[in-house]
Amino acid sequence: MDRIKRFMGKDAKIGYSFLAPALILFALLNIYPTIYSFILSFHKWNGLDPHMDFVGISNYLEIFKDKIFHKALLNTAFFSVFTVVVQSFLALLLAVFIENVRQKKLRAFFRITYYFPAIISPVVVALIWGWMFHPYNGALNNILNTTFFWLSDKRTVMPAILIANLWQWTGYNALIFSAGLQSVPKEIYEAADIDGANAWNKFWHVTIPSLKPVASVVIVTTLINGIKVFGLVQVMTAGGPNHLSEVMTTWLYKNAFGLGRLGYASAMGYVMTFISFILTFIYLKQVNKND
Amino acid sequence: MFNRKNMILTLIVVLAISLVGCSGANNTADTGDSAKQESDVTELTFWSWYAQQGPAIEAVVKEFEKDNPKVKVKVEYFETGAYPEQIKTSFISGNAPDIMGVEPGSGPKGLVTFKDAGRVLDLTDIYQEKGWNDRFYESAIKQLTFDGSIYSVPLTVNNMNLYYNKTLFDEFGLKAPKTFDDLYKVSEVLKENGILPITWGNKYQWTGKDYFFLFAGQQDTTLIKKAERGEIKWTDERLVKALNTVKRLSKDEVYAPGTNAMSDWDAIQLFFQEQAAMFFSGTWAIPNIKNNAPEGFTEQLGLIQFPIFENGLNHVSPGGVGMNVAISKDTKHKELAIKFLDYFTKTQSQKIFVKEAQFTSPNKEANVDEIVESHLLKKFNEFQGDTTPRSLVNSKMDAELGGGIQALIEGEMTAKEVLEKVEAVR
Repeated sequence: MDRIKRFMGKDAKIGYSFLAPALILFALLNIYPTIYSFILSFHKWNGLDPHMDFVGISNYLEIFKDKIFHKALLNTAFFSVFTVVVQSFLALLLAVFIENVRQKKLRAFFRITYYFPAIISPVVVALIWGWMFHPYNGALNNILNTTFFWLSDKRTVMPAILIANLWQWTGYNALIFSAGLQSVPKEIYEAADIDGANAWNKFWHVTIPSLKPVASVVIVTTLINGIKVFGLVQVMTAGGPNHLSEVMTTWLYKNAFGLGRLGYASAMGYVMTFISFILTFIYLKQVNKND
Repeated sequence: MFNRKNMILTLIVVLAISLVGCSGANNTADTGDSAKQESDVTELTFWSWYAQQGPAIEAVVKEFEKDNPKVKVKVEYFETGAYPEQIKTSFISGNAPDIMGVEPGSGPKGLVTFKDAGRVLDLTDIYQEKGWNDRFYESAIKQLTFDGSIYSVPLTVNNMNLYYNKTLFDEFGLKAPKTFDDLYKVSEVLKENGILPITWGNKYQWTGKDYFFLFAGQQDTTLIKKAERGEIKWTDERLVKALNTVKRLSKDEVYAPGTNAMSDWDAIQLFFQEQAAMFFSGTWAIPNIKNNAPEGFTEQLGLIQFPIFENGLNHVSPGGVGMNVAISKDTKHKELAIKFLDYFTKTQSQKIFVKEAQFTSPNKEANVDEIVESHLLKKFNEFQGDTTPRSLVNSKMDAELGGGIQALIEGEMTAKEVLEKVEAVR
C-alpha cells in the first residue's frame, strides 16, 4: 500500500510533473540519438542525401580491418592506461600533500589553484600547450634552449598530449582524493601511531585502504574520460602527423565530417561504447570481488 | 511578493523564454526596413555562413531592391559548423532557401555534395542564355563544371603566391627569386643571418597539398584534374617529381623545420615577427595580416609567384573559386533567383562588392585597380588569370594526400609511396 502511494499518489504526481521537463530533454537529447545512431550504424549515409543505404554489418566488419582504427585504438589505450595509472597516482600524492599543509587558508589556496585548470575548455588548453610546445617561440624550447619538434616527433607527440591532459585534470582528481582523505577517521591514525607505525606504514595500511571507494570513482572516470578524449587531441595535433597521434574520437570525427561517412562513424561510436562498457565492467567486478 | 509561488512562476517564465530564444544559431540580417507584409512583394531567401562578406552583399542587395521594388532579398547567416545541418533540415521541412552558399568540392557544405543529392538546379543553359561563360574567369567556370554541366555561380575567387618581407630582403641585398637557383641563394643568405627562409605550418594538413598542386601546375595545369579523373595515374612521373620537390625543399631546410608541429597560424606568427622572410598563402591572408601583424607590416611586403623548380616551367598560382552560390531545386522563384544572380554578378554590382569586401571578384572586369585598396590584392588580381587547380573533389584521395604529405616531411614515406596510396583509393 505504501509502495503504491509512493509511486502513484498525489505527491508522486507532483513529483512527476517536476521531472517531466528533464525527462523529455533526456529522451530527446540522449535516448533518441542513441537509438538513431545505432540504426545509422547499419547504413551508409553522407548526411545530405534524402535516403540512406542499408549495408548490414559491413561497417562493423570494415572497422575490424581498418588499420588506422587499430592505430587509434592503440593510442587511446595507451592514453587511457597512462592517465589512469600515472595521473591518478599523482593526484593522490598531490592530495596527500595538500591535506598535510598546516594552515587552513593555504590549504584552500592550493586546492583552488590546482583545481583551476579543470574549468578551462579542452580546446583552450590545447591552444595554450600548443604554444608551450611551439618549435621556435614555445616556452619549453626557450627554457631548454633548443628547437625540438614536440608535436611532430613520433617519440614525443603522445607524451606531449598526455602532459597537457595531466596539467588539466590532476588537480580535479586530487580534490576528489582530498575529500576522501578528509573522511578518514582520525582515530585510525591514532591507533596506528600507538602500534608504532611510521609515515609510510600509515600511508600504505591506513590511507590507501580507506580511499578504496574514492579511488574507484577517480579510476573509472579517468578511464572513461581517457577513452573519450577529443578536443585536446584534435586541436593540439589533429591526430597527426599522418595518424601518429590519432585516437578513436578524432578518427570518428574525421570519418563523420571530413569523409562524410556517417554510418561508418556511428558504428565506430558503438564499438567505442562497447569497449568502455567491457572495461568498466571488468574493473568494477575486480573491485567488488576484493571487498 | 517574494513568496514561493511567485519564485516558481518566475523561474518557469525565464526557462520558457530562454528555450524560445535558443532556436538555432542564426542571426538574420534583414535588408531594408521592417517588412511590410504586402502580398505582391516577393521574398527571395539567401543563406550563407560567411558573415564577414555581409556588408558587401548587403550593398549590392540594396541596389537590386532599388531597381526591383517588388522584391525583397532576405540574407541570413549561420555559424559555419551549423550551416550544413540547417540546410539539411530546411530540405526536409520544405523551407529550403532559394539561393544557398556552397563551397567548391565535396565537403559537408560542398557543391558536389548537394549536386549528388539532387538538391540544386542545373544552370548550364542559363550560363549560355545570360552569357555568363564570358563573364567569369575561365578557371572558375572549369572548376565548377562537372561532366559538362554547371550548378553554381562563383562569388569570390582567390589564388596563392609567395609573400616576402621586402625590408628584410633589402637589408641583405636580396632580390625576389624567380627560379630555384635564386631561391636557394636567397635561403643561404637568410640562414647565415639567422632568418628562416620560408615558414610553413602543416599541422592541419591542408597547406601541404597546395605545394603539391603548385609544383604539378608549374609543369602542366591539367595534371591534377587528369589524375583525379583517372586519365593519368597518380604515380605519373611528373606528379612524383612535384611531390619530390616538396620533399627537397623540406630536406634542404628552405622550409623552416618543424613543419608538421606548427599550424598555419603558428607559421604566420614567425613571418609577422620577422623570424622568417617568406610565406606562401592566398588572397585570404590579406585581412589577417592587416588585422594581426604589427602596424604597417603590410607595406613591407611584396608578392611574387612561387619560383619554378626547373628551367622551362611556367610560373603559376594555385587558386580557384572561394565561395559560390547555387539555386535550390525546390525554389518557387526560379526566374527571380536567376535574375538576382545575373544582377549580382554583373560588372557594375561586382565593383560595389569589391569596393566593400576588398577581395577578388570572379568577374574579370570588376577587379580594377582604382577600387582595390591593398597593393597586395592588386598583385593577386594580376595573377588570378594564371591559376592552376588547388582542390580535389574526391575526399578519400584528398585525405590520403594530406596524411601522406605529413609522412613525406617526417621521412616516413617516399613520394612514390604516398602517390601509390592515393592511387589505391581510386
